[in-house]
Amino acid sequence: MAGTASPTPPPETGTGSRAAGWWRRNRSQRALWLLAVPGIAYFAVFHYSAFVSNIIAFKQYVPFEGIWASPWAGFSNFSRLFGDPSFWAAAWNTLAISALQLVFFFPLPIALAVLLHSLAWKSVRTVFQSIIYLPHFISWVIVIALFQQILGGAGLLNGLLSDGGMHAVNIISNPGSFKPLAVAEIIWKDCGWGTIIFLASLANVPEQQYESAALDGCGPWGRFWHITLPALRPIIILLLIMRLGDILSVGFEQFLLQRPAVGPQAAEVLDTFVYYRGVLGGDWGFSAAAGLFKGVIGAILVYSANKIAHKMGEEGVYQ
Amino acid sequence: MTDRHHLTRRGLLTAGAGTAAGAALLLTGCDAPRAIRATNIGKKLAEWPDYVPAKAPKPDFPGNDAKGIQSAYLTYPTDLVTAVPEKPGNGETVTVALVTNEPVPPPLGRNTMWRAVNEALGVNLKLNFIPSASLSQKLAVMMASGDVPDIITCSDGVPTFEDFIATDLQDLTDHLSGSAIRDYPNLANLPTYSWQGVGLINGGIYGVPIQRPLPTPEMICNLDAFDKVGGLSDWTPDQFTQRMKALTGKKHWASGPVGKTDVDRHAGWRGAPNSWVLDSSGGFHPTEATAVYKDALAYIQKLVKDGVFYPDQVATPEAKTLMYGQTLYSMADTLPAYATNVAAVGSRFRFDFGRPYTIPGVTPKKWDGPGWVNYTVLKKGTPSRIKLMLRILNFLASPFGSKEYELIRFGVEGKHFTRDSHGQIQLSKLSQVENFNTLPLQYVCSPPLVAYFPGQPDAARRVWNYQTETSKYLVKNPSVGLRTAAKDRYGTVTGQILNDAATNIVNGRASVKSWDDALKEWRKQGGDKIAASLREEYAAVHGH
Repeated sequence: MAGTASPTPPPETGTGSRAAGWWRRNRSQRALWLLAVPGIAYFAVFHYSAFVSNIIAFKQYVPFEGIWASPWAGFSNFSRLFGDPSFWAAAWNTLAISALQLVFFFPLPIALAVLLHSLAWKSVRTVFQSIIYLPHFISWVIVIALFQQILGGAGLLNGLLSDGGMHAVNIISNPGSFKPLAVAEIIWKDCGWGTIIFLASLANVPEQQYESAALDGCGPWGRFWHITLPALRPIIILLLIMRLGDILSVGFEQFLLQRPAVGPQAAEVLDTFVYYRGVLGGDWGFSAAAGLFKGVIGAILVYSANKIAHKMGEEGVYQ
Repeated sequence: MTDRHHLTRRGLLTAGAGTAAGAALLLTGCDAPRAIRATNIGKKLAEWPDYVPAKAPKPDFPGNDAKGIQSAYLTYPTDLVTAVPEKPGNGETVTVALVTNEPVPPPLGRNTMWRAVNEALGVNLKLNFIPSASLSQKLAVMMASGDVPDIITCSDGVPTFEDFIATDLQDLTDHLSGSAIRDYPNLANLPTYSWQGVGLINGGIYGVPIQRPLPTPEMICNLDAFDKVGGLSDWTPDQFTQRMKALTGKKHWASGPVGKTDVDRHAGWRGAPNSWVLDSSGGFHPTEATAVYKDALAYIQKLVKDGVFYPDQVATPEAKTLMYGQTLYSMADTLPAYATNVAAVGSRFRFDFGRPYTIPGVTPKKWDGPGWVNYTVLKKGTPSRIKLMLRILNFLASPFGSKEYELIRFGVEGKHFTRDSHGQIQLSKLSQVENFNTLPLQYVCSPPLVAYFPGQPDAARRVWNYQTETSKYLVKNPSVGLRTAAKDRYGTVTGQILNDAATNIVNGRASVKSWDDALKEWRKQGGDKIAASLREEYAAVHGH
């Protein structure tokens, strides 16, 4: 109100003063900014600037002519993509494998982490942890060769069956058993590695909480339900949201390597589809359209899941 | 309170996305393959390089250039000639991207063979080894980045690469066409069919072929094993099946993993034309659409059911290991690999090749290869720089019986090999690490291959016999050397469609009837466009 004296100084609403405040705040945090520079540069160069390249989804891209000189294709790459049954077959395989991974693979590292955390002998826990981390560092080529050596048509299992006069079982090259096999492979390879983040969360739970609960007569299940699970819940929700964002990415090498054995009907996923069309087929615009589609669906899923998490009172990935 | 004229982040993003989508909609776009410069339609066609055979030691079994049969030598020549009197270079650095099938060799500082080659060439070769399985990806990256070495080994089947060659790489017509090639006598020793196999690009000569004999070995076999069940020839399809079944069992298999190449081979044996049917009016039709091809699919499907193929998918090196260990008794392999194979097994067993079976009333066909395995292209440069590159290629193409060939093939005497009292090559331990496979300059340029295998004269005799016996069945692929926009754009994807469908059928995952659906899909994805474009290009190149 004009003419009325204010008991407190007016809030700084001018652009200049706000900017000055921003600079002041950040000057005092110079060291933190410096530490963040490599990370920011990484994301700026390899992630955000790469966004621009999505423009090739609207072009008939020719590598040696460059992005700008390549002719425009309008939405023809998208119309071809959505009209291609192979794309939908690959999308279906990807979703099916993703769902299987979500149901059978996602909970296992949590269970394993809880099991490890409950081990009283620290040395046993360390040895066990080291053993279960190891498969993560083995390349997919080796992992698949190992599975083939054991379960393949000429593998150990069929060798034993044949020696025993029994019929061979077709596991590796059977399209029907491929999806469960693919999930089993990823469980073997990455389940142990996946425990790290949950173990880190569990390490933050004060021992006193367990002791107090035990003194109050809480049994093992009660302690798990009332202490362990609440401690893990934020990280489970966070990883679940991130997994939903990646629902159309189930891996590449694992499927590329096994595709010849079971055929594209069983093993073609979106990433191998993009590889065959884009890298080998030279249909870069078409493949970029598939990639963009994947990205948009992933972003929508992350956004929606985050919203749902907020509604359920969780922090989610971001506010 | 939000000012309604204030631009929010969400508003900005929405407006940006809307504008981009609108702009993209307005921009005209189409899916027709873009015109390519590589095509020869309407171009003045370069004259093929003169063919001037080099003076060679007298072979024990003479080759036949017209039929693409190798000369065979039972022993190594003792009087070597000098094929390149002057060093090609004068200390220049030359960058090379070359294909390899082996692990990367020791670096230059620890590689006697590489240093000796550099010394003989008079240049500093900087080699970038590309695993053959990654060639497509590496060439695509090279195109996109524009970072091109002086000499590049390449191959067909990399979309837009031939157009990249026509646009950004060196036209060699002035240097190699007609009699101009005589300045490079070892390149003039490359047979005409190899140049024609690479074909003209944009009417000119851009690629130097890495020659291969026309007959493509298809089914390399353990002769000793097959001899026990009736041999590798004089058989009908039923006898073929019986012999394969007789060799299978107790953790042994008659053949390596099954693939479309097996169907192709058997289709040829049953009389199917090589890759394309060229009708009397110049039209192209895929051989896969013939009834014979379907018969071959059904036959292989039955063989797979009989269990004669190795049940797991393994890469060629692993299949070879199984073959050397006699777990497998045959597999698909190439002619140059025969040299490595016979060296690997020594006297443990003999290799030979399966002959076509006979069906009453049918003349078998053996599908010709293109006459090359890769070809070499050059970065654009000044005339003097290009001449240097061609002198290097000329050196690497030095023929069998020359000192230069010996260096590239066997290394340095006293280090990589010694000679016995008869002047025959005895390979040393060092040659197991440093050899023509680990330092694969053979994939930059090479002379016409001859059949000579140190210490294994019978192996040379067998491969020569095979080529000679089967040369009467050879048929050409009429699409070899043709460059079209549709082939470039749709070739890989349509090839993959047929490859996947054939693999599904032979493995019993789909019925033979489903082959018709695959052919429909092949047509829909561009196969018909390829056929139509080949007709036009064939007429432009062959003049009818």
